[in-house]
Amino acid sequence: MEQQNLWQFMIQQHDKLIQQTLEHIGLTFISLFLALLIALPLGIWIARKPAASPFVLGISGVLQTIPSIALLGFMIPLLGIGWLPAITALFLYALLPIIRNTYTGITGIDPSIKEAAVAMGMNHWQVLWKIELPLAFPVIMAGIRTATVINVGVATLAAYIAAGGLGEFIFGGIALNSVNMILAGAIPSALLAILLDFLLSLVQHIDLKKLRFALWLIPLICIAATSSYFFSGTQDLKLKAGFTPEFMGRTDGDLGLKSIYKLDIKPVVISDAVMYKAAFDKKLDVISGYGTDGRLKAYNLVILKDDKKIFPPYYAAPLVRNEALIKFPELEKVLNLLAGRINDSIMTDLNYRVDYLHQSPQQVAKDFLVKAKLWRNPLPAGSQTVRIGSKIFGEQYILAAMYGMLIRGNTRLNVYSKTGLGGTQICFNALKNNEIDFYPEYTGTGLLVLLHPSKQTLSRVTKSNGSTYNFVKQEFDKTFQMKWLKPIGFNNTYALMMRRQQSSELQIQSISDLKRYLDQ
Amino acid sequence: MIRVEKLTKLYNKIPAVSDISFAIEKGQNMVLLGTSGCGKTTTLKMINDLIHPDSGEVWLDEVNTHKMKPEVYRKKTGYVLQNIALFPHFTVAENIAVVPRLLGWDKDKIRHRCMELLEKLHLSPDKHYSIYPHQLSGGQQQRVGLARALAAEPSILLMDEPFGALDPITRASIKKDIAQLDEFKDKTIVLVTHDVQEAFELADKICLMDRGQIVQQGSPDELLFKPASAFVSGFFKEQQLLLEYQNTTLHKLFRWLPETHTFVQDLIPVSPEENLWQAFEKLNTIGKTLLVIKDSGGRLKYADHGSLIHAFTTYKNTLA
Repeated sequence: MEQQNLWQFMIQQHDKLIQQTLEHIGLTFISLFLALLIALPLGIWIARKPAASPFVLGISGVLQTIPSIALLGFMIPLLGIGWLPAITALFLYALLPIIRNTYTGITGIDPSIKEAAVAMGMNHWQVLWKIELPLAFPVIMAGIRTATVINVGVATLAAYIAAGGLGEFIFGGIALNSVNMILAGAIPSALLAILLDFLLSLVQHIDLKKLRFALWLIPLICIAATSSYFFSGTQDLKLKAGFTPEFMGRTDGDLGLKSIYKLDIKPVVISDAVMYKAAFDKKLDVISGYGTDGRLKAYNLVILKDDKKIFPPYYAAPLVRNEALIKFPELEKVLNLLAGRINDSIMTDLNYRVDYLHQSPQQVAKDFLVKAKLWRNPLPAGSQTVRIGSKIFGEQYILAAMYGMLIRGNTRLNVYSKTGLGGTQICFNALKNNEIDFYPEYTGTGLLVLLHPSKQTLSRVTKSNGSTYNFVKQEFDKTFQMKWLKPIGFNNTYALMMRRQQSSELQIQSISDLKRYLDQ
Repeated sequence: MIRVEKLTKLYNKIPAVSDISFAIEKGQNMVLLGTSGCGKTTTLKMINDLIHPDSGEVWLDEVNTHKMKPEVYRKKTGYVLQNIALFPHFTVAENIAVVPRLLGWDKDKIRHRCMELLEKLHLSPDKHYSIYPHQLSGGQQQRVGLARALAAEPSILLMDEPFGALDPITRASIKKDIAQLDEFKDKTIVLVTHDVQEAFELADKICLMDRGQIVQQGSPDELLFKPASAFVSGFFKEQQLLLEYQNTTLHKLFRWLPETHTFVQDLIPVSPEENLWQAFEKLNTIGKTLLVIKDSGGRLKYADHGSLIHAFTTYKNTLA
């Protein structure tokens, strides 16, 4: 892959960058505007009714302490995905600083000044408009500034629930390990926070004579900025698609859909934690997922056939250090006991039990082995120990457990499990540095993430599963002195999915069908 | 005029002010005098409903205020605060213009009135018109505070320890200016103070309060020479002599002063409106002298230390 600097990346992605920035500004200001509408009167009210102030400040304080990602999580069952829950969450975050500063600003005014105003014959509204609000204005503005900066920050999380914003780049960049992409999201959002804070500081210190003007200016700015969100929003489509940030940035993802299938489905970006549920709830129609994810079964989704083969095969197989195979001669045979035994639907079912029914990976692994007649009671162990690794998700835990049981049942080797090793890089480095002896890896990951082949090689070797496997096996042996054992059988590849019912109603079985349907 | 009838205010069921009644004629100055916490400020604030009484009525110019919106009669009632409390975000002129603006005066009239008041209160219209309160000294601020209270030409002026925050020299100079101003002459004024000197200086009528009740109300002379209780005499005890001298004009002693004199060195003419204290001051500074007092009828009387003391003693006996 050719090296690209940040600037080149930003220029190349400028339309996305502009759209995300506009969405970000929009999210920030819609929520800020709504918060102003509620928080200002509320702050004024509790300044008049001190008895209510601990209650109101307490509740808005509690809202503030809910971690933002959790707050977004709470919103999904109530409000689904998209702009509504995102704005609601941001709105709730903006309340406290504005309410508290309005309250503090007004109650902080010298009581004798208020008394003078009343004694001069001003009524409640005149005292509020001529005396209290102007004098509390700098403090209230400080609260609005705080709320704005908080909202710019929290709005990055909106990308998790398909509400857009600069978080799309940030989370995509994290998922793809692309520093440029992370920075393309992080720098504009940081600049946005600084810029908005600076602009509001100008308003804060504005001449009090122009106060009326300034007060009207704030909602006007909010409305103007708000509209940017809706202008930049996606248009009506026949089917609504939601892809993970990672999928959005991969050649074997959205980019491949665009270039190979010419499929421009205008997806929203969404975290995979909520994506499947959103599809089930009909908030989304087409999603990007993993071929053996348990939620396929839980939510009755079907995979669309990748008839042009843009998703490289992700067949799982044990990846073992050559040294370990020499040290434990019996190991290869035992690990190959699983070869070809688990197909996609079996793996999906196993994942479903762990991820959705919350059974323990050990239990699920044992049940499977018993049923497949591979289970044997553990033999008394000798002094040698095999170290098994796994990445940090259910399928890997299950596989690691199965291998552990097979080794204990068929050899006199001890087993030490080092599961939950984060992502691919961490797991692979552990193997390379002789901290583990083997772990289950996927051919596609080995190919794309660890080998970084050239474009020509890539298109050559992804034609079929066999060619990918052979290429990876050969290269790993040569480069890393590691051996890919026989594939287990299932293919946990990227896939597009739809609800089973909708897929059959619309007769969409493959990605080409989908393209045809959208072009009608 | 102001009439207050049976005002009572309770805080947590404990009376802060109980059953207070008084009346002030048009153009009179009344001073509410007493120690801190005696209820004098509460009483003052009940007049313009800054504090709403639990019972009792307030009549301003024969109208029961509790039947009106407070905003309405507050605009006709000037109010001066102890800590001045100018609006910090308004210029001097805007501060003065607050009530006229609320009343909807036209711009030229307001501007003209601001200029006029600044001049009357010895501030400079050029220099002070459009600056902010924090740019003024304490004394200047209270002059603006007075101007703000007077701006809409109220017939009634309420003053809550208006000179309390000022140093003695500034205080004296403002009081002197006030005494000369027409603006104050025809106003019905209620002034709250704990300063006995100040009370006697400014009052036509003093209302001495203690623990939420009026102990005695009447003219300064009545309080001084006919105290209604031991509390009243005790209240003035430390300054009794000074107050008596200051409150006795030579006019009051005129009939007991001699018409002839034995020898003459320096004859100093004094007005019968000057008080005994001032007379002694003149005798002391100048030495062996004799005061010559001429009353409105043209009669002459002569006085030295001895004859003044004699006349004063006789005068006091007639009062008792």
